[in-house]
Order: sequence, then C-alpha cells, then structure tokens
Amino acid sequence: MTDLSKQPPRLLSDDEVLHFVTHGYHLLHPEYPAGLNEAIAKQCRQVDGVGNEILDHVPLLHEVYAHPEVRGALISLLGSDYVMNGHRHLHVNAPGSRSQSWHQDGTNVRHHQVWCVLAMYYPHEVPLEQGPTMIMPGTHFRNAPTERMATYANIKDQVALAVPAGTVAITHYDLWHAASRNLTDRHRYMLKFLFDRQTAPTEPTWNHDPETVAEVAHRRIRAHVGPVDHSSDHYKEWELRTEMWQWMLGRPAPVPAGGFKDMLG
Amino acid sequence: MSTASTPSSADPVAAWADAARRTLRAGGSLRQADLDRLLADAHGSRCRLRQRLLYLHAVNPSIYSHLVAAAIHEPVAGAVTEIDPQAPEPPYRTVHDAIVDGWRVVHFPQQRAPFDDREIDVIGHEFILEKLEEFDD
Repeated sequence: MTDLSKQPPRLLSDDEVLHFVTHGYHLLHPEYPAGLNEAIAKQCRQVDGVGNEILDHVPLLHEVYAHPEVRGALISLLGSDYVMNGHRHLHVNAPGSRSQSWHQDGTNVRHHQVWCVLAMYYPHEVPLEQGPTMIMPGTHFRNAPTERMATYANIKDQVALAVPAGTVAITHYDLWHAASRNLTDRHRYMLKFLFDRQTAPTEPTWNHDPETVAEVAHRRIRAHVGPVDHSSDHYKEWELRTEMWQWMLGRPAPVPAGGFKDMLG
Repeated sequence: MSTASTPSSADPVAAWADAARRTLRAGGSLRQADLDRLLADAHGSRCRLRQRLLYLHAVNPSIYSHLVAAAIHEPVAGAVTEIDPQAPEPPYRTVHDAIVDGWRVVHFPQQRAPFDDREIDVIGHEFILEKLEEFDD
C-alpha cells in the first residue's frame, strides 16, 4: 500500500487561497485507500465520550490528516510548520436531533488573519437529510457574539455541507457554523480537528504565480459573497479581505477605513 | 335580536355586530342575552388569538430593502424553529411585502445603533413582526 504521508503535499493555487480568504472555507475530496473511510466510520460507532483522546481510539485518523491534499491545504493556509492542536472532537449528530444555533467557536477575540482552522472530516456520505454542518460564507470577518445570532434561522446563501464520504472541510476558525437537524435513522459522524499556525507569514506557502496573481486577486477580492449586496458591509469586506490577503503574502499592510475606493477599478 | 340568526364567521364579534345592525334596521331591539352573548364571544375570541412571530433581517433598515434571513415562530407548544439545510428562500422579498400580507411590525432596527467604519458584525437589520391568529389546541 502506498504511504500517503511520504508523498509531496498538494499545495493550493492563488485562486484557491483567495477563495478561502473571501469565503472562509475550502473543501477537499481526497482519494483515500479503499476501505479507509468505512473503517473509520465503523470505529467511530464503537467509541463514546473519548474527547481529545479520539486519535488514540481511532488511529486511522492519522492517515486522513497526512494525506497530501490535506497537508498541502494546511501548509498553504498555515505555513509549513503548522501543528495539530490538542483539542479535537468526534461530533455525533443523532437521529431526531434539532439544529444548533449559528455560532462562532470561542470568544470574540477576532482578527483578520489565519492563525487557526477547523478541519472537519466526514467518514461517510452526508445527505441533506442527515444533519449536515451548515456554514455561512464570508462570516469569518464578522465579530459577532454568539448570543446575537440567536434569532437567525435560515440565512440567504447559507451552505449545507452535504458531502461525499471522505470530505475534509477546512474552515477559518471564526466562520459561522451550526449542526443541522438529522431526519434520518442514522447517526452522522464528523471529526473536528484544529490546526494552528505557529509563525506569521513571510512569503506565500502555496503555489503562488506572480505573473497572474494580480488579476485573480482583483476579481476575488471584489466578488459578492453572501447576501449583503452593495451595502457598506460589502465594501468593508473588500478592505478586510485585502488586509488578510496581504498578510498571507507576508506583506502585511493595514487598509484604512475607506480604502475600498482604491479598489473600485 | 335572535342569537339563532347570527351567521357563522371566523370573527364572532363581527358576526354579532352584523346581526345587531340587521336587527336594529328592522326595528328590533337588543336584549340582555344578546349582550351576554357578545361578551362571551369577545372573551372566547381573545382566548384563541395567539401571536405568531416573524423575525426578518433586511439588508438595511428600510422596509423596502431585500431580506437576508428569516425565522418564523408559531405559538404552538413544541413548535420548532431551526435551520433547514434545503436552503429555502425567505418567505417574502421585503418587510413591506410581509406587511402587505397582514404582518404588523412590532420591532424596528435602531437607526442610531453603534457602528464601526471598519469592522462588521451581524448580518442584516432585524425587524420583528407579529400576526394574531386563532389557534386550536
């Protein structure tokens, strides 16, 4: 059997990193060795309440996060010296569950950089009826206490992670998300692992192309993400995206309020 | 006025008033029993009326701006309001469309709410609307 951990990482492109900057997530569909997803799903059904020890109980998970596509995405977003955080959790969404409220993890000490991501792995297919994780694109720039999200239910352009088996969804730590209701008679399993950046970027750590990046960045940074239309939020997002992108490039440059005027083009 | 002549209606008080007008136009008179019936109908109607709530988030505080989020809460024990992964569209295009459909706004966004010229927080501006409708347990 091929040792995936020995293969070179598949780094993201400028366009993929910029999509992460603007949307706050990136989906991977790695090809794992035959039977790996099924074996992990089976082991997940046999463990209960193991918390951070899940990696000891389901050691096959090492193969998931060592896959060249997963490593490549993590290197691209967090630098080559990224580390797996000690906190991880097997999220079980049981039949008959109700949806969670929208929330950001942690507390409101936010920034517009990329120091931590969630890497959510789904060992089995998750159809819309089986409690997919919901994410709201672009909300990683929003600094909103979870209590202030309590009156939302459906938000226009929300995304359901109804995904094939083996999907790894990498999200910015601040992205709004929620588990949704499980209408099926089957449990939904999701492994949430956190990965941390150790050092601020000094140069791109992805497949960076200086020849084409300006056009790609110009298009991505001005794109509409989410339902806010041409509101002031939209133009503030241009500024916050630009600041995050410059930081990722290793050229941090604060963008003052009103800086969007220089991006109108 | 004969209570037997009172037409059935979704609003028993309005029905009572219609019957009373016809009685008076015909030269009849109202009796103590008619007033007792009116009181009973009014009390019963109040008891069945319950408040439906509709939270609408609009892109700005204008009632004509388009909606970015919606949540409806039914006044029934055990009613559930939750995220639907099937991604339904909001039930109305604007708050004004909801008003036209009979919803009453009971909470408006605060125009002078704190804001930041650089940072962003929640999505949209929250309106809360109500509809009083009869519910049977």
